[in-house]
Amino acid sequence: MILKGQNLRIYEYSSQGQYKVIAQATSCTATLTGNTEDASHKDIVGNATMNSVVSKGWQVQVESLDVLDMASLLTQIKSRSKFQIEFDEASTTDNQTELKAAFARRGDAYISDITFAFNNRENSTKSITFMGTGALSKVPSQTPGTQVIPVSTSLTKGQFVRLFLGNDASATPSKVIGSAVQLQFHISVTMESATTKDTEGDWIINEPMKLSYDITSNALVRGDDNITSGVEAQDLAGIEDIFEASTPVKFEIANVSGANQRTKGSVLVSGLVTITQLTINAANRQNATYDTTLTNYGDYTVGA
Amino acid sequence: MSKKNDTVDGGAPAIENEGGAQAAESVNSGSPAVKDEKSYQIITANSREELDKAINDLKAQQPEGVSLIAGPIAKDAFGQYVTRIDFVK
Repeated sequence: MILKGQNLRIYEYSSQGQYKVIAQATSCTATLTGNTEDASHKDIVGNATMNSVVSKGWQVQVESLDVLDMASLLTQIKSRSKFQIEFDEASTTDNQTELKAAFARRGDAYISDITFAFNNRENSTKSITFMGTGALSKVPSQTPGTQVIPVSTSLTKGQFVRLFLGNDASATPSKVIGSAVQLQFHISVTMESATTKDTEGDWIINEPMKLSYDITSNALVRGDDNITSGVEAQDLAGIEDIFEASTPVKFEIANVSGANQRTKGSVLVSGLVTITQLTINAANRQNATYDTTLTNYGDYTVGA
Repeated sequence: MSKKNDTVDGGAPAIENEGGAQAAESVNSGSPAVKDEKSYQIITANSREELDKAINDLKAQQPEGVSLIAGPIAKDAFGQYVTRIDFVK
């Protein structure tokens, strides 16, 4: 029988001693890499290289519609939490119960890259890359798991999460990005090999090092902000002023409600950022838009 | 509209508010107190106002030293507002 994609899943070891699926996943990929060095030498006739495997690495990528665990993931990345990940076949009866298939593999990993996307009139998504540290070992044959995780039926629409900016490093981020269309929050953690001669086997030991994050926003260019709302908006001119000043500015990404979806609710993540790129798009017969890339100035805070 | 709640380990729903908001899921045994770094609750409500009230009520219940962080607010298949609240020591 040929397996379908929905029956190959990424599980995470939970605090209750069981492996739980990454909920609401839409796709996942496991990549095992053999790093090679050319072992050809003059004694071998011809021009061909001889690729000899000197070390191995692995990573797992998951796309998911579940963003409710954003705070938890951001906290775990800050604390350099190690995850135990399993790649396994899921039962066809629920797509969730792990089966301990012959090809099932398990290993430790850190999150090396994560993107939360909150785009207008789209379901919000998260995209996670787990970078392995040590072996992605075959799982010994065991009794299949029995835990079934209830399917989450909640979907977060992107227009209900917005970026707020202040005017400078001290001002409260009270201004929403006016006429915003897209918003992405992306974290990257640089991994460094800590493999030594003492390390057994070919698998690379990775340690999380430098953390950086950026926010990308896309909005329409408006001549004025004629929306009736008590909440002020940053427009292109305001963003240009921040760029001109070359100083960090406070940001908050928050739930919103109310008129024009500008009333700030609970804050998801906050911190200081600098504008590192501003692109104004003026395509023929299309709305003029501008893209803003904001790069971190120090760490982020989970919540306000 | 209300729906039946689930708890991961059989505990009772952790919060009951007169506004209709309710705990849908708890990793602990029904108590909002923090036991480890992964403690969280899923709460649902019929409206944004009820959800905000439930979050604020939960904040007020927390012992000192525990941060309460709300996740993005979603709508579930029943049209109810839902969010996840993480408790971080």
